[in-house]
Amino acid sequence: MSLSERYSLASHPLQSVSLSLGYDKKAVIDSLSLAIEPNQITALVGGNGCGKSTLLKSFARLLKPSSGQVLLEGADIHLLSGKDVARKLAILPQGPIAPEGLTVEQLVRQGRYPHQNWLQSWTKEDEDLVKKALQDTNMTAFAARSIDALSGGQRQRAWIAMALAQNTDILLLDEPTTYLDLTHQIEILDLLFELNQSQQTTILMVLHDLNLAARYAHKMIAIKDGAVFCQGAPEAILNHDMVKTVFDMECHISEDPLFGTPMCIPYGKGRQVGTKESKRG
Amino acid sequence: MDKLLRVRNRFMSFSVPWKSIFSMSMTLLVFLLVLMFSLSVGEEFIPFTQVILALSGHSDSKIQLVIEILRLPRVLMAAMVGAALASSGLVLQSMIRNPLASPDIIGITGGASAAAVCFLSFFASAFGLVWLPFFAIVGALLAALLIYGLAWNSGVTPMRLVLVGIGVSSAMGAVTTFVIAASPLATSITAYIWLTGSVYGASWADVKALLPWLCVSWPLAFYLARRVNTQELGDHIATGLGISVQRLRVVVLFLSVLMAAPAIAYAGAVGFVGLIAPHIARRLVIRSFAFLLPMSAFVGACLVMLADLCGRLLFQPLDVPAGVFVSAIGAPFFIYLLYRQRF
Repeated sequence: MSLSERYSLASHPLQSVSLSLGYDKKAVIDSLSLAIEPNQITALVGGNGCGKSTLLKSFARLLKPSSGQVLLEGADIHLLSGKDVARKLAILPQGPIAPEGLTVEQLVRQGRYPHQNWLQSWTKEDEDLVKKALQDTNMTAFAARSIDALSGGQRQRAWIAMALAQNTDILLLDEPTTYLDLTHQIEILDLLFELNQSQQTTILMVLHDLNLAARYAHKMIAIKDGAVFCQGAPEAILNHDMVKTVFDMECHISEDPLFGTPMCIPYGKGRQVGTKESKRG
Repeated sequence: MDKLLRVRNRFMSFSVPWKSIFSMSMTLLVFLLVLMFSLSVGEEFIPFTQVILALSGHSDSKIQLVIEILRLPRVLMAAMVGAALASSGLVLQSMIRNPLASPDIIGITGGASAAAVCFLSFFASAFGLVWLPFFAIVGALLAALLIYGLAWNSGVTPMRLVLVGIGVSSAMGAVTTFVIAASPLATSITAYIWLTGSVYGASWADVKALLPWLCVSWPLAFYLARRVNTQELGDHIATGLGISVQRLRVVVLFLSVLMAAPAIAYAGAVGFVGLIAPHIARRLVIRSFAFLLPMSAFVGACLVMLADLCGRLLFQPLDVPAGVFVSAIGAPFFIYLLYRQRF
């Protein structure tokens, strides 16, 4: 291993090396090498079934690769113990379901599992971190509520609080904003952005909304047919040709009037108001 | 959030909500009351004071005999059987993440029953009845292996486990019915009473045979408590928190057999306790396995003790098997709890 290779291993908290993945012998991802930047928010984007969720799961040790490796701080993630991984990396999969009657606080406490053992199951640190996770997600008032009794946005915040209580440097999320209304989407993403800003948490998430991905993520990785189509800062890679290839959709790229980040406006059918030139395809 | 009892020192740290401590103490009190009551009533009523004297060995020899030889082993047996089946049901419900699981639904009881009935029909005359529990335990274990094997598809999912279990359960039921139908009448009656479940004529030998199993399975269940809690959040979350989900699933399945099989072996196929006791426990204590386990056990113990009490008293001089009354007592109480929680 050359010196520069060693350096790149150490500087990337999470990366894949010629990783191949598949379900039931059907390959979803073939020989993919990808490195996640430390202390940044990275968004995985791509069409349905392109393999981005599969990739995220394998980065979190939830799927065993058919070949290749996932390296967590330079070590093969499947050779580490489950608890070791869980102390460094938290994953929030899509649509988790809590057991009936479980309260928010009980759920968040579960995030401390990898840090506890049989005798030490509720240290001062555990208690403080659970309190902090509840505060950071604005869930303190709901601590004693049952998860079933919460709205979609509150529920998602409760799960994020659990992941925060895990107190890891890396946080992986699979579509954290699905099924949420716009207000709650922004609320969740703001929360993650703040977390990244204040604690330098490395965040990797699958996002469906290109415009929100461009606004919050430092880096965007576009996946097409199980391979990386392009990656880089959203303002560098989000353009007409990229959307055309990755999503098979015509669009107009504009600039977000508030944030200056690229904004993708799809062509298609729809009402036309005023005298603007029609580009409805 | 602050009504917690916190224990923190160099060796250990944990927290317990006061509310749960309270309901646990109340249940323990009810358990002791039911126990005392079961000892004092029967063909002959013995006052509480006499029962306590007899238990400490200071009563006259006749009362001493009734309590020590006749009633105490039977009541203890009922309590242990109820506790074991309830714990087994709780363990299965937690693992499968489905409130409709219990040893009698997923085929563990069915396996034990089929083996026991086959034993009664074909081997009892050659081996002697003492071997019945052994056969029942082996039957339960084989059923669990069969369920796990059939449900395997590069890992086992909870839903598959339940569905295969229900299939295995009905197949075992068919075997049981066939063997009973094909047996001579006397064997059929013995088999039928065994299938209903009864602690009639339980002796100290039975108590001593069942106790060691509980002494193994309970500590194991407590040891696994935190893991069981976490895996209830789903496979992905649990794996993400560092649990080997598949390994835990095998261990927990066999833990449930380890709890249910010996109880079934010594008391017969007492049904319903495994399903309902954990549900009652969930209404009384916080949703954490380490609390639910003793709570379910107490509830299960009370249910079977009360069922046996009804069996002894209601149709005197007939001694009706306890299994008959478990549902008769458990179901209304459970419905009452559900009804009360509507508000």
